[in-house]
Amino acid sequence: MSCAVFQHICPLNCFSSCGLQSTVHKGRVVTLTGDKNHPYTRGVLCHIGSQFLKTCYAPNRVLFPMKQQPRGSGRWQKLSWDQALHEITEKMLFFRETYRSFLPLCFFNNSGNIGLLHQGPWNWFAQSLQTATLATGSVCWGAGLDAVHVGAGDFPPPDPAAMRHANLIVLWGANPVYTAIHQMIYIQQAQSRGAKVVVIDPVITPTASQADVYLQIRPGQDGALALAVIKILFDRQWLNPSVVESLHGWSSFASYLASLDLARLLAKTGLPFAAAEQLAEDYCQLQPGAAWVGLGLQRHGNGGQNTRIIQSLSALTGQLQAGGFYFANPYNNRWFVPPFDWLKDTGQTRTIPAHSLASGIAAARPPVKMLFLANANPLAQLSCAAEMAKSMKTMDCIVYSGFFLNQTAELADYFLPATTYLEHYDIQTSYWHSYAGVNQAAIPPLGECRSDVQIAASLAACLNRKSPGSSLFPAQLNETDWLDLLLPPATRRLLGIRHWQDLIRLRLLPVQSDTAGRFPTPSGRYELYSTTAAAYGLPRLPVYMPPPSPSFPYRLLTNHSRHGLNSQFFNLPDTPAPHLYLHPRLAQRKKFKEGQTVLIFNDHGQIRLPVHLTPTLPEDTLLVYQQPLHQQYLNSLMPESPTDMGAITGTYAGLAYYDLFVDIAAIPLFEEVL
Amino acid sequence: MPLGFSFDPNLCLGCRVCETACQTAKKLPFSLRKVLSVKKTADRLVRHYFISMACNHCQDPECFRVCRENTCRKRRDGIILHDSGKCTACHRCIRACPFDAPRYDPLSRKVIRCDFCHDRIDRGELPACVEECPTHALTVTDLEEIPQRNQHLLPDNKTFGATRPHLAIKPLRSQSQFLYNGRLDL
Repeated sequence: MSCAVFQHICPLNCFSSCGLQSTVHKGRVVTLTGDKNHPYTRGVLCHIGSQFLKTCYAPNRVLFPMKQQPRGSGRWQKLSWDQALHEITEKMLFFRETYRSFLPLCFFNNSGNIGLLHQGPWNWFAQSLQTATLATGSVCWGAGLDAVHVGAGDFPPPDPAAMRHANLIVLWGANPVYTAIHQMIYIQQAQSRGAKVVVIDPVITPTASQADVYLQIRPGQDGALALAVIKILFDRQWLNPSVVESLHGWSSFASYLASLDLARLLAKTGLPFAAAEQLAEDYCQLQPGAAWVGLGLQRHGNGGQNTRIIQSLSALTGQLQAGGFYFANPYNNRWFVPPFDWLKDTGQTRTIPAHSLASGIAAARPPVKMLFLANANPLAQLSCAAEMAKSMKTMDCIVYSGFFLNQTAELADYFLPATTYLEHYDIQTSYWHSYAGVNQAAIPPLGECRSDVQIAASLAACLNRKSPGSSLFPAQLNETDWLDLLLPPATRRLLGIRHWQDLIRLRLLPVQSDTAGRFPTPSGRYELYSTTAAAYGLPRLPVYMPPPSPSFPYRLLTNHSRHGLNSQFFNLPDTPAPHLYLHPRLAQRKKFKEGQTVLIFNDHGQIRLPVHLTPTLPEDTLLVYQQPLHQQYLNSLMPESPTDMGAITGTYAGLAYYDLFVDIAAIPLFEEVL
Repeated sequence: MPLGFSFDPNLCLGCRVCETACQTAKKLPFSLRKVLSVKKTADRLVRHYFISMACNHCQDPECFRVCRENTCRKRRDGIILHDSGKCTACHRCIRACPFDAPRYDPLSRKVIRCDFCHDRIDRGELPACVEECPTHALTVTDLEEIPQRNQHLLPDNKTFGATRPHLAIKPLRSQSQFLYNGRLDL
């Protein structure tokens, strides 16, 4: 059997950005395996990633442009690309005619594919219209990115594989067994050498169970614990004077520390003094140490400040300066995508924060009439899903691009079928490790699927044919021309390559681990005291900030499971049914039985799910793994509550997903009968 | 020298690579191995871990006893082999196995089960699931060398029972656990 082999990088938005290899026989991908030559992922694939062929060749994948008439009816009809583009651009021009600008057109491209040619094109196309509306700001990690930036500036992130050399690994709210299995392998290597692993998490996760020390913290109080640890180190004079004095603002922070009451801080965390004392000793004695702040921790109303305090703890103990502080960071994207000349003059673009898209659309003047959604499933992922669905129903036209008719696509007028990473070229970095490479197209697009950049180009071409000059998007470029554009000459020199094809073999991007104590901050030092933070109305120092107070009795966490990533992968056949997880004692008090369907509600909405009892949660905390539900929206419970930070490195704050409070009740008997 | 599986729950990532490896090696539409997620109080601590399980090639196999067609035989090294040619798919072994190991294959209309990749063993190789395990949580072992098998780490609905499975589970790592119980005062 003659087979061709192709290189891929999984773009589905995870830490690992795995290297993969496909073999193609007679135009069909027959195997998809991990690339054993990838220096970080080494050929290991997660279960969902290894099953991607089932997504690519799924019988229910949409392969042709379709139109739904009337919207929400499920009556989809196939139409040609020409017809679809004609109808969509007619509508775009109609709104420009009516409102004298493209402002009624709102674009939202989310993180379904983090390849550079998929994160970019829809946004570039929106900006190329010069006056369109763009939903921006990451709902995911803005608070943490800002926190890291406030302290350390644009400090290069350390090599995650180096975590295997640490003697102490503290995982603050990270669950790599579910979300980053490759990193867990490096952590296990450290552990087998004798390193101590500490997990701080409200949920007893499989990662927590593999740790040497587990601290079950009250959600949103990680900053209080980190401050308690700093306070203990300070009171006992365990901090190295030369390290702490090298930090900007140490004297003001020291007087804040002197004023702190340790017992009150610990009471907030729910943890005993012994736990904080042990952690302080470990931070001080076990060098080199590594601390990793997971993404869940910063999805609180005080999540940015908590991350900042934890990072400051690493800086005060010298751990950060030695390359031992980890937070996911898109740092490596800087080597690609140079500023395009044709996007220089787009100052008229209106932005709406993605964390409040529903109310942003409702308040927009001139109104939003047409919505473009790509790599996104806002009804599964954004806040106020019920309001969002309502606002979508009143929209004049919705264009959706993706793979499947998911719950968001069900409300669209046009479905534009997108290619998977097996069918297009792209360049991809990782927000965790420092390897970048080209993703090759193994097969031509299935059906009439097009990649995002091709869709944007065909929309621009059609628009400009009807009304020349409407879009500045370079419609004449093909996919591989774009790869050339993404690689500026400076990056080629840096990587020692001449052509994008040289990047098919993965390359290590410049890692600058030794910064000789200098930080790219205004003061040139690590900043405890930050004028940048003050300029954005944030506390100048990493002081304690209380989390928002609960509006309902129970906190509902919506963590990632190992069966999917955001709303992706739930098309796979072995996806478990969604459940509400709760502690057996809470179930006993509420008289809930295993498997009983109950009502979860708050002032925003309600959903119904069967309960599953687990001792791995605190009694006052509920858990529903993030997953699209059948005919209901998990995020209909989620208010538009932003995180404290996000606007410094991004455009807007993130979404405080884990400050979600609900009540639960049995379903009234008469309803059950119905 | 009874061969068996040794499993370390401290290393298993629940990544199910063992399942996929089994399915690929045996060219089946399903896997003969299954990764179970276990949440329970073990050694007085609340834990969440995984157990990867296939046929345990028991010392006193119940499947062996109930089979009317005598499809099973046990090799000197402990591996149980099932002769699909004689199988009438009566499902008696499926019902009898406490570990849900025998599976009905609708394509061949026979019962099929883990054969410890005996052909690979004979070539001096490891079973596919063990070979592919990225953390070496799953290994092949001579069971006589392992004194403790830690039955209490199995999921609540399973026990080693009377069949004496060739499976050893390593003890969970000791842990200092500080629980915020979030107890509600209602």
